[in-house]
Amino acid sequence: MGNQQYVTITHYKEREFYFLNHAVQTHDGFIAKDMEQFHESEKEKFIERIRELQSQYQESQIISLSLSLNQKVVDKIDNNKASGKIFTNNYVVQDKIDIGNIPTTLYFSPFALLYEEYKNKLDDKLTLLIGLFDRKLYIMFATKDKIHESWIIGTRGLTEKQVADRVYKSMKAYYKISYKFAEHIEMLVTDESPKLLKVLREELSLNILLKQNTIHSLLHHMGGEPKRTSSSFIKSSLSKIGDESTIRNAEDTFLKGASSNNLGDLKLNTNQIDGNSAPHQMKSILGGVVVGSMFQNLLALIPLLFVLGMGTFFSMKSSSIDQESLVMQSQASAQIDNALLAMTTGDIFSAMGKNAELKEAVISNSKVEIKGVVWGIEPLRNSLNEIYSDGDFSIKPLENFMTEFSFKSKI
Amino acid sequence: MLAGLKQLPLVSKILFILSLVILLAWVIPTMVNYLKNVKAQEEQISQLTKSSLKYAITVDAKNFNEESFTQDALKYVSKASVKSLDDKSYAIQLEVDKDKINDFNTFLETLSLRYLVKIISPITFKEQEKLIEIKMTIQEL
Repeated sequence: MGNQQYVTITHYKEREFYFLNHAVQTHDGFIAKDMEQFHESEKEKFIERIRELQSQYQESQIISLSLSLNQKVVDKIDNNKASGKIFTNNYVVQDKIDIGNIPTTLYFSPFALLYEEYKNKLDDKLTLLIGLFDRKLYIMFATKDKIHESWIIGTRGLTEKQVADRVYKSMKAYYKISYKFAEHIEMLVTDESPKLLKVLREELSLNILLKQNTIHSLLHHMGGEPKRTSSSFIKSSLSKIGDESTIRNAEDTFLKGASSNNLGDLKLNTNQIDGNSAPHQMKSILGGVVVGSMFQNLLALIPLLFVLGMGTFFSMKSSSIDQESLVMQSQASAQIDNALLAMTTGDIFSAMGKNAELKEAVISNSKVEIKGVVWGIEPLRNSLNEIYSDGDFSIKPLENFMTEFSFKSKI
Repeated sequence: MLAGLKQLPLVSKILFILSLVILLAWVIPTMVNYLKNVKAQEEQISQLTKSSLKYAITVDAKNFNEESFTQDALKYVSKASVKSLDDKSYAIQLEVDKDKINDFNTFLETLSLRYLVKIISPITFKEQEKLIEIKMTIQEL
């Protein structure tokens, strides 16, 4: 004889593990039992355990969560896809229901869980709702009458700080497509990670309200009331539960369509689906938003450092050669001046020859002034005039019957 | 390339643009200036080398030293004395036989090839009994 209590059995798969829980629903809420965990190699045992619980409680719902990457909140229902109504004129759709052959009666989207969690807080102001489920950020921009935009961002392989950074980038990404900033931000974290919560609180603005709850609790809550239950679970219109080949096709279809996403580097790609693949590892090194940005920033620093290094090198060399050049230029100039002075001196003494005797001379490269005693006035005058045609030659008789000459000229 | 640049994070873009601006505004002009100076310096070296070869001077010009200068001068003139003035200047007084005035001229022509100095005053000559007294002021370069 089965137990008459209403029980919600919840399960979901995260990485290679299935997580199973059941809770007894009461008027005051649900009372959850211990969580059970099964490795994917124990899938049969896991299914057997669900069947066992199902048979144990006659009134039960088996509830699971769609962690599919291809789900999106849209305005119109799509009859060709699996869809669930979130609220008036907003539906979450995905290509197929993808729970394999695991018994499930109700199947919810994280977007529906998010909406349910925060619907009473929504008003006319734009609110950003963020849910972190299975290392993916489910993001919705909503007001009380509409969900304006939704998308999913992978965080696999990222640190808590990098997750916080992605949340921040999601806000910027929305601004890029809508030119609106959310006035209010709510975040629901389902991973039981105190460190993640701590980092999110530290890294994000204080205006972001953080709440932590387990996926099981959220699913138990969704299954707790018929109104909630019936309103938003995903119904399949095409595929039957258990058709895994269609799931793969759905994922392929999504991946092909992903390129149309205009959220730039925040969009999902194949690397986030297969976390163990080599491309994923490469992505985490080179292509991930945060790691990639840091890497790209470091790469961008290389030309800057190179340019600064080159600039400093040539600046120092130029400064050094400037100094050397200045000295050499002065030396060359002095050498030319000296050679001209020597030439002028030689010319003056040569011009005087035996015709005069020098008393005093002042010679520079701009003028000559000579004074002395002359023996042959005309030969001296001629000689000096040959060299300096504009010179001023004058003579003065001395008392001792000698003649003094003076000569001035500019050069 | 532009498409690749568009996809870069903002900080990377800023760094790339900053690199480009620094390259164009500072590095390339500095490099061009450096290369011009190198060329100008080569011409000056060539000119000075030519002059040095003319006078068979094989050593580079050195900083002024009173003792060394006096010794060098005495190879061309009969008397030489140096008096230090302010501002790295020196009053030079030489004495040379009238008939050997060309030796002084040679000394004068080679002065700046031997020492990093220039003559900053007119040269005065006074003749007394076949000896010519020469005065000038030089300054270190």
